[in-house]
Amino acid sequence: MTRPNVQPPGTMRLADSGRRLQIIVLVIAFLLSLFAGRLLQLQGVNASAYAAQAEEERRRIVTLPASRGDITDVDGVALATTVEARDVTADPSLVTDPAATAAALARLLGGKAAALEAKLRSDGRYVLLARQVSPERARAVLALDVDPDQEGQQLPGIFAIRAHKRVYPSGDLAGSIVGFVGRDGHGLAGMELAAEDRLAGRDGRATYETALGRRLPSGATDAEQPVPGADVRLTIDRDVQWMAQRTIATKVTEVAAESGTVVVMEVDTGRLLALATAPAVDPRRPGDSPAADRGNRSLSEVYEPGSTGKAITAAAVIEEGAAGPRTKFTVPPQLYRGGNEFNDHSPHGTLKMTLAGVLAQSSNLGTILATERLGKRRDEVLHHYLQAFGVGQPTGLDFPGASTGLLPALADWSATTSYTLPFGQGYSVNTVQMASAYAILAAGGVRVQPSVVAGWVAPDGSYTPAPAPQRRRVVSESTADQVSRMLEMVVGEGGTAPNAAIPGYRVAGKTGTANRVDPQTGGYRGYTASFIGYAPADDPAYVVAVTLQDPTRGYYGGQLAGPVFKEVLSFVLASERVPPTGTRPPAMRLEW
Amino acid sequence: MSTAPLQEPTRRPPAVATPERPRLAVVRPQPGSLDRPVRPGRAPFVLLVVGLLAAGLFVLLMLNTTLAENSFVVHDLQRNTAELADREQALQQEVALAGAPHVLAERARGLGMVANTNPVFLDLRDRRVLGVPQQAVAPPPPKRKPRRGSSDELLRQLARTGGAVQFAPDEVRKARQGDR
Repeated sequence: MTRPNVQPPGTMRLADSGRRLQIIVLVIAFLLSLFAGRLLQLQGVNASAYAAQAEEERRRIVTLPASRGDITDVDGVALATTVEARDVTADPSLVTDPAATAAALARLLGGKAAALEAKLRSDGRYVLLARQVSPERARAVLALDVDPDQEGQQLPGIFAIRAHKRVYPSGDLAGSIVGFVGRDGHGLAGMELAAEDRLAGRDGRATYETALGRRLPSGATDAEQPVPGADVRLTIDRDVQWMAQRTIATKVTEVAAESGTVVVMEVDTGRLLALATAPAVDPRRPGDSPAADRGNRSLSEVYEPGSTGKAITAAAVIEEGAAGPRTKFTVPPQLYRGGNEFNDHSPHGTLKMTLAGVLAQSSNLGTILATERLGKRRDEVLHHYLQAFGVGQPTGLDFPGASTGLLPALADWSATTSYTLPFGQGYSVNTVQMASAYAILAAGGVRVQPSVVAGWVAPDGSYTPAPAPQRRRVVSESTADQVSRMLEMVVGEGGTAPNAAIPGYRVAGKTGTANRVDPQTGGYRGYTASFIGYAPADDPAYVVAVTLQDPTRGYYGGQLAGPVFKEVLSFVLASERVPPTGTRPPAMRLEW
Repeated sequence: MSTAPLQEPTRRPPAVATPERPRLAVVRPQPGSLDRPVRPGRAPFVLLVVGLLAAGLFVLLMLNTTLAENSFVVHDLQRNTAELADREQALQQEVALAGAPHVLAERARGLGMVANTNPVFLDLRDRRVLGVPQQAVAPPPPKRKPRRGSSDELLRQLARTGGAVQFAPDEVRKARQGDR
């Protein structure tokens, strides 16, 4: 086209409409394809991931805490249980009048108003004001009204959060067995720790959908119910435990002893009815007790038993046929053995005693002489029987902090070991081990493994008894009976503990006044006074073992531990309804 | 697209004269006949839809109201239950404490009772006494200050408790001394 390019000024050249349309279509197509691609990506490729993410945004997961099982005594009375409680918290930024709020809270929650006010004035948006308040009190706190002019205006910024609280309805009763829990509600000591797995149960979860903070009624809900913990039923009898605990605590104070323990054991079953210690921990305030008092001394504290160990020696000698209750001994004022001089607790001339007399009078020298009748096998025999009676062996109780004590291996024996072991020095035991050793004699020579757990109550209420205790014969029935007869002499006229006798009952027992190893220096300092026995002697039902560590007003086992033994055993016989057998102990010569 | 026609349309051959035919016209069916039903007015349909919508809204409103109402009831009942459960829990704890051995022992002592230290049984079949009965000895009086119990106070206590009087240890002792 060769038209002269004359264009009037001010007129634009019209664009090529076809071309423009093409470009627009291309741009739109490009944009649309982008959208389509994104759509494909959202709905096709990543669809499930995004759907899940969206659901995640709507979903709220709440932990449903499993309720902790109770710890009950043998009758099912709760010694430890869990109740609902509230933690009172505050958001200081919402508190309008810290002074008045603190004053009002202090009246209900206890504590100092100034301390609460300081918390309420602190920065941040969360302070804990009081832990584990009862729900009723928490309700009262929330209903508090600081400013009476503003009707319906309650304490702003104060909240009560649902919590659980472990309570011990019987107070410090059996605290040293039950143990206690930490702030997180998990066991730290005693049965609370030993049975943690079964007590705790398993937390559940509830999942539901929310929108704008509200729960969607039609949304999917999915709840995994918590599995509550099982209840532990102990073999402990609340009344017996209380009696034992009170008696030993009184005695420990009276004789200014460092500590004391009482163990009550059922002969036929090995069940422990009481494991009392003094000083005892209060599970409600474990922090108030020094660390040494927070466990159970009857299992954790080991000591040299002293004369109570002579019953084991007597059983060994009789079982091996080396001597009998009537075997005659001439006991000199002192004996020289292994390069050492051995004496009795009080000086005496040459005495003519039977084995029964040696036990009744608790003669160290007589015991040494008796073991010498064993001949060359003496050391092996002693070691074997001490071990068989449970010295240095685990008791079979699964309890935190339990100690097995120590029985030196034969190879480690020094020249004197073989002469101190017969009268109970040179090896160490805990009170439960000693009670168990006497239970062997009481049960006719059979060892029944001691137990503290009677069974488990599942959340559905079904009861599963603990497995039957292991039984093992240690000495013959005849040997056990002969030792029993001799032990009856101890509480008789010529014995060392006439004040352990219970009128009307045949009581067998043995005193112990042992040199005590000072835990600090490792040398001997102070005494361990003890008494272990059982009744009725001809049909034993219960063993009671009493130990007093480092008494400072008097130290003889018969005088200090004997009366505690008598009081506790009398109570056990009465409350467990064990009548006297009505027989008389056979006469037995103590001297010749 | 504006592509110009490449060639002129071919001219049609000249029309051939055709014989005259009668003109045809579409016959409209008579109203009411099968082919043409009477069409109702639009108004009823609109009313129906509006009515349905209104009814739906109303039902929805009622549903919401009921739900809200019920949730209030549920909330109240839940609070009630929680309160009762808390109360039950508190009472159970009180009962447990009241039944604890040390509390019972303290109350028994407060009533002037003395623990039997020597177990004795009575066999009802042959009326035999098993064991050796011994007189229970009262422990020394507690160190805490005994309450002063005048007769007036006791009478007031009687009236208040309907007959149950808790004797302070010194009253019991006084009464015992009077017996001798």
